Amino acid sequence: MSYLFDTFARIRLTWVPSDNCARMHAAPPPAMITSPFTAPPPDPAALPQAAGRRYLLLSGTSDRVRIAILDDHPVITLGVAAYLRSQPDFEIVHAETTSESLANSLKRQPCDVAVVDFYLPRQPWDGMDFIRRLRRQHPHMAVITFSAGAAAETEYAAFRAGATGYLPKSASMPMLVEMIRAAHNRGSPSGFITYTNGALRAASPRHPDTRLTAAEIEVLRQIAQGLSVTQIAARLLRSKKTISTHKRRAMKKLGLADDLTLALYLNEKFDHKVGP
Amino acid sequence: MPHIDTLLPLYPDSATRRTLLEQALAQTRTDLADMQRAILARNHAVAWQYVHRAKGTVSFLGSGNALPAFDRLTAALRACDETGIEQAYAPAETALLELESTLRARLDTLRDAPPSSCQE
Repeated sequence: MSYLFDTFARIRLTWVPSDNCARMHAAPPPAMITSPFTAPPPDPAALPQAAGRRYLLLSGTSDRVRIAILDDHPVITLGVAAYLRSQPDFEIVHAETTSESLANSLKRQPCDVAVVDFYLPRQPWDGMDFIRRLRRQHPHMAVITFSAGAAAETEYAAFRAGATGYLPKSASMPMLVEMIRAAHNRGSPSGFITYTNGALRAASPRHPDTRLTAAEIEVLRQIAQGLSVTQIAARLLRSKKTISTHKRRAMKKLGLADDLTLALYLNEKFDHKVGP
Repeated sequence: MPHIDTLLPLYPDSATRRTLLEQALAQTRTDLADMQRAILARNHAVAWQYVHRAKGTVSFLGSGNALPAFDRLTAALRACDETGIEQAYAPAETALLELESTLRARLDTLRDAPPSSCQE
């Protein structure tokens, strides 16, 4: 998918002689909600001229946050990448629509932050499995889950898989910028950034359903996508027996007697809230 | 109000906005054509993927009001419910056609705007 973005106007902060133009090329107005995690980069227009020039020159080089984006909807990948490119301290290194292509791209060129969609139907890896894979292969990279899936369930699953933060797609794009900066500058690698009532904060999400384990939620989520026990076992690299056990235990905890009541539960719990 | 009208002002200059609109218009047309072809061919598994992709396009750029139509179409495709597919397809198709028309109009407006001497 990267070819799609080659034609995009790449916004780079470089020194320009006119103060007016420097302001125009600089960052858009500060995000509507400020993050408690990190101070935003200084506004070049507010700095003395020499300092402003220095900042502009430096920000065009290696101190930018290298970002990878993954969303199976090309328009969302496109729109998010174009917007993030306008941030002077960001460099969009990869913009992909499949988990496989992102994994390959990251092998060639690692990034500081990955913004990944959680639900990627019909792809070999998605959800917790993919986040864990990214964490294993790139332990220093922050992983932000950006999803429209059921908020509480997805956030908790992302947290358990080792993601750095969760942002619902209903949040504004300036908030995504804040989340990326917060994730990149987080003090503790194990901290988790959540989005609550329009603001970011460091907190471990609460278990959405105390009856189910994260593994059971993940198995139910995969069943809701239409996968069989055999397919889930192959996908999660577990035995069929393990997956069946998770399924059976989840059904018992939820008081679901058969596959029909399970289907109704999944439809209610996942179907109408899942994706894009 | 379609989301594109909220999104566009976030982009820094008219060149980026125009490129986004052009790519979004191309993607919307592709989504519509792929969805139509798969539904007509009654290829439910493939249609499900295209509907999912089209829903993403509409949710990011279009009006949120159209999303339930895509949910209904997805459910009908999963259940191989031909009547449900027939009923849910028309509003989903309309939503994509409306989005295509909106994107075209915004692109025309941007093309008609006088060029600025410096980046916006």
